[in-house]
Amino acid sequence: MKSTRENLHMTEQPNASSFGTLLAVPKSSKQLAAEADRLQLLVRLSDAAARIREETELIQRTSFADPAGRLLRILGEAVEEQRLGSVSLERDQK
Amino acid sequence: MKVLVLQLARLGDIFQTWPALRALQRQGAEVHVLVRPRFRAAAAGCDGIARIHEFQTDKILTPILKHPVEGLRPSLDELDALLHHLDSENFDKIINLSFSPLSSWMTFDLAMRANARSKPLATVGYTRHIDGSLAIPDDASAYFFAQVGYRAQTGATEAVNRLSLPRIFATIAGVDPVEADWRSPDNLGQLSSEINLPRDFVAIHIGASDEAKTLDALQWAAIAARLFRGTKLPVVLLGATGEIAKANSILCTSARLGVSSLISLVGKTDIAELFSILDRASLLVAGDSALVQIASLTGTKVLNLSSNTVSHWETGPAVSGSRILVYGETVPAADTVLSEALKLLIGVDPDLKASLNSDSHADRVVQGPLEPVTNFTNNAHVDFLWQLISAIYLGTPVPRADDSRIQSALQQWIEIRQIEYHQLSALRDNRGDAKQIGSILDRIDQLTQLLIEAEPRLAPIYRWWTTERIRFGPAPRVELLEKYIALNTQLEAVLLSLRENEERRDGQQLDL
Repeated sequence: MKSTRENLHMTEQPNASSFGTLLAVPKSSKQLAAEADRLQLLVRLSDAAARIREETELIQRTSFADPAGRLLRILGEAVEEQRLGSVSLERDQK
Repeated sequence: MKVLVLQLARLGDIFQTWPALRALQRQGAEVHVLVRPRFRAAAAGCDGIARIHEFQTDKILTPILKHPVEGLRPSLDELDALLHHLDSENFDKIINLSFSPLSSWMTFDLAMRANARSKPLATVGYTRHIDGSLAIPDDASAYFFAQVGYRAQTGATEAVNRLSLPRIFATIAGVDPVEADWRSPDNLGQLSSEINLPRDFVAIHIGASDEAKTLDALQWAAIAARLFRGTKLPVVLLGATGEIAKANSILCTSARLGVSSLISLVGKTDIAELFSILDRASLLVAGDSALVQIASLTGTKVLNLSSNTVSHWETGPAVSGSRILVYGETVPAADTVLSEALKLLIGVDPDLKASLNSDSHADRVVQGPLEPVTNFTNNAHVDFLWQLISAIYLGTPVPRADDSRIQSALQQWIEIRQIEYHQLSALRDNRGDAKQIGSILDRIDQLTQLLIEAEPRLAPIYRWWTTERIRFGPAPRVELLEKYIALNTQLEAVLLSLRENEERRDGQQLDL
């Protein structure tokens, strides 16, 4: 949460535009079939998240008035939900 | 009015949205919902829905998961296609009932797309400001953020909110549901020919979305056997495909306890069939599971064995007469479960009266889906916290804060607030050194946090106050300062009311 000083733009650092993770989405109790599969999925999710962050940094000024900035953010949040294990990608395919 | 409801949570949340969806439809809205494909069946039975849309996670994420570099563009294209499709529906209002970062960004994006077409689009629920910060436009969602959602963020288990999720959802949606909105689908599906149910039976749901929300196989076996013997009714086990092994374990264990005639439908039913089954059941015994929500719609009484990590106020059964047993480290004994089950089954078989033990172990007996909120339980500490929340949000009398410790904390907070007021006023009036004022405001934030850690009974006020500050959003500095000062004054009113209530010894009401 931003401090009073940050909210009133009294800091010298740029305001963080990211609110960050708001809520932990309720976790599912179902576990992936094998530990190896789970680890592999986490690696793929981490790679995806890193790629999205790279792309975001390439956009010099992330403006959410720009659809591209919003799409990246939404995709990033969808990846983050998977990393938190809220809803398994595999289970969505059933 | 054409409305899109974002409900990207799980089965139970979708079922708990049905009353709001029906109330929206009754108001004349054309109601669309966005759900995840896996949980589509939970929405399919609701007659309040005109159309179901799907957030196809696999389609959107698979490209980038397979190839982080080459897959980024295809994933973005899939996402853009979905949002474009939703935008083309030309909704008048978006109701976000998902309370997640993902849904907040989607709500914001849809609003921006509509804005680009000069189409007015109202939004309620979590969304974003233009700078990407969280936006909570409506008071009901702010209530959820402050007094419900914080538990997921902080890991706190003490549930203070006593408003049920269906009622919170309806309030966010701006509708007033009626009892009739809690009902089964108009056409209950036929059961498959493989499912032969007795006329009266007790259903037990052996699973939940999380193992922490239900009992283990041994515990369920003891309860199932006891219920079978004590009620003289057949016992039917329900659960998902992934719980078949657990069901087999329950069957084996109950057989060793001398009960070999439990019926297992675990892994053999779909959601439509579950509605039909629970509609016929005399009673459902379950942990904190989605079947409790289905039973609330079929009108089936529930004996809810509720973990103290879950809020039964929020997600417990809704049918009048249902009973809730809350447990911590030790689950309720089988005899206790039988005793409470018998109280629920008396109407089914009056002969059971002879077996009835009038002692009640239930922590709560439900009065119906729109029951009056309970202000007094056997836990005075949690009662105080709820009454404080109720005073802030619902205008009920302020509770008494009797002891010297909380009075001392209140006095300290009032003094901190006064310092903040003077600093904010100085900033607004361009008096004093801005850098120094900034340092003081930082210190005030820290002191306030420490004070709440030392006196957690004031936490509901703190959460209300911090949430209101989050809601300000980006604005010119002068405007923000005025908002901060106004909120500072509101906080003073709350703190003074609580402090003075001890002196006046009567219930004041807050005027916020």
